[in-house]
Amino acid sequence: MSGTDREIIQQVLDGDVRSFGILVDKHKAKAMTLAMRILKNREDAEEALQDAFVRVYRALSSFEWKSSFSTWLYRIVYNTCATAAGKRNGKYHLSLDIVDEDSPRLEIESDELQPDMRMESDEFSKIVSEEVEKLPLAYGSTFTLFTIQDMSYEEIVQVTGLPLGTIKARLFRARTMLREAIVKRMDHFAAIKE
Amino acid sequence: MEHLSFDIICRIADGDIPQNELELYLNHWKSCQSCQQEIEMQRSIVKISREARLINPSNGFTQSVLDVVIPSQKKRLYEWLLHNMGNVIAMALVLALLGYIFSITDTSAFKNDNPTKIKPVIEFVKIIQDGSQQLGSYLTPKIPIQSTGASHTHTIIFALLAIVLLVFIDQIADHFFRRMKANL
Repeated sequence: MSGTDREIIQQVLDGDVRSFGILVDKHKAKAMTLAMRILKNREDAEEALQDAFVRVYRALSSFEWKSSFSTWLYRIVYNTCATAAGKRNGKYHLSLDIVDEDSPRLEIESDELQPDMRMESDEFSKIVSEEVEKLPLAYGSTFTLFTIQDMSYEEIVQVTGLPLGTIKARLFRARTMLREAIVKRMDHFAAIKE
Repeated sequence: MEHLSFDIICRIADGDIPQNELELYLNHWKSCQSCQQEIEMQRSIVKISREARLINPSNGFTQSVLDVVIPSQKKRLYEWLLHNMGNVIAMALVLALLGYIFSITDTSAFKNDNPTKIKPVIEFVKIIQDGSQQLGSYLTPKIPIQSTGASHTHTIIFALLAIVLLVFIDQIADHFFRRMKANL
C-alpha cells in the first residue's frame, strides 16, 4: 500500500494507526542517515529516531502543511538528535550551534588538482563518502540536508532554525574541508600508484 | 592567471548563479582547465553524496515505533469506554427513576373500553416497572440480590432499551459537538 504523505496522514488521522508504519517506512532511511551524521552512533541514532517518529505521530493532528511533511519531519529529527547529542555530551551540542563563519576563504591554486584525476572512479567515490562521514557535526549535518535530503537553502533554514547566512557559511566550510581532504588523499593515492 | 574563487566554483557547480552573473565568469571558465576541473569536482562530490547508500535502521524499527504509538491509542479507547460507562450508569439511573415513578402509578388508569389499542402501552410500562424493580434490587444494598419475581424477558428488554437509548443520545451529542467544533 502506498500513497502521498498527505493521503497516508489522512488515513492515520481517520483512525488507521497502522498506516503510520507506511509513513515511517517511507522516510526512515533518509532520517536515519541524518541522525547518524549528528549522533555518529547507531544505537543513539536509532533511539533518537524512534523518539522523533513518536513525536511526529503525537503532533500529526496539529501539522498545518505550512511546509512539506518531510521538512517538518526532518526538523523534528534534527532537534531530537541535537537534544540527544547535547544530553550525551555537552560539547557535541555546542558544536552543532557554533560555526566558524570567519574561516579563511579557500584560494584555488593553479594546477593544484591532478590533471588525470578520475572523478568517476570507485576510489574517488569511496574517498568522498569517507570524508563526508568525517566532517565535524555542524558541517556534516548541514551537508547531509543539502545532499542526501536534496534540500534548498530555505528548507535547511526551516529544519535547523539557523539564519541563511550561517547555513551558507556551513556549507561553504564543509565543501572547503571536503575538497582539501579529497585532494590530499587523491594525491596520496596517485603517488602510491606511481 | 587569477582563478575563480571557491565560492563562485561551488555556485556554478550547483547551478545557483544568475545568468547575467555567470556571463562575467564564462570566458575564464571556458579557457581555464584548472577551474573546469574544480567545478567538475564539486559536481561529482554532490552527485556522489546524493547517490550515497542510505543508512537503514534495524529490521524491527517500524514495529518498535508502532508499539509505542498503538498503546496510546488503546488508552484513548479505554478512556472512551470509561466515559460511556458513566453514560450507561447515568442513563440506567434515569430509567430506574422513571420506573420508580411508574411503579407507584396505578396502571389500571390506562384501562379503557378498547384494551387491544392500549395493550402495547401497558406492556411497555410493565417492562419499565419490572426492569427498574430488578435494577433496584441490584443497586440497593439493603435488599439482598435475588429475583424480585419480575419477568426475565422484561428485565432483558429493559437493559437493551437503556443501551439503545444511551447509544442514540450519545450519537446525537457526538454529532452535535463535531458540528460545533467544525464551526469554531
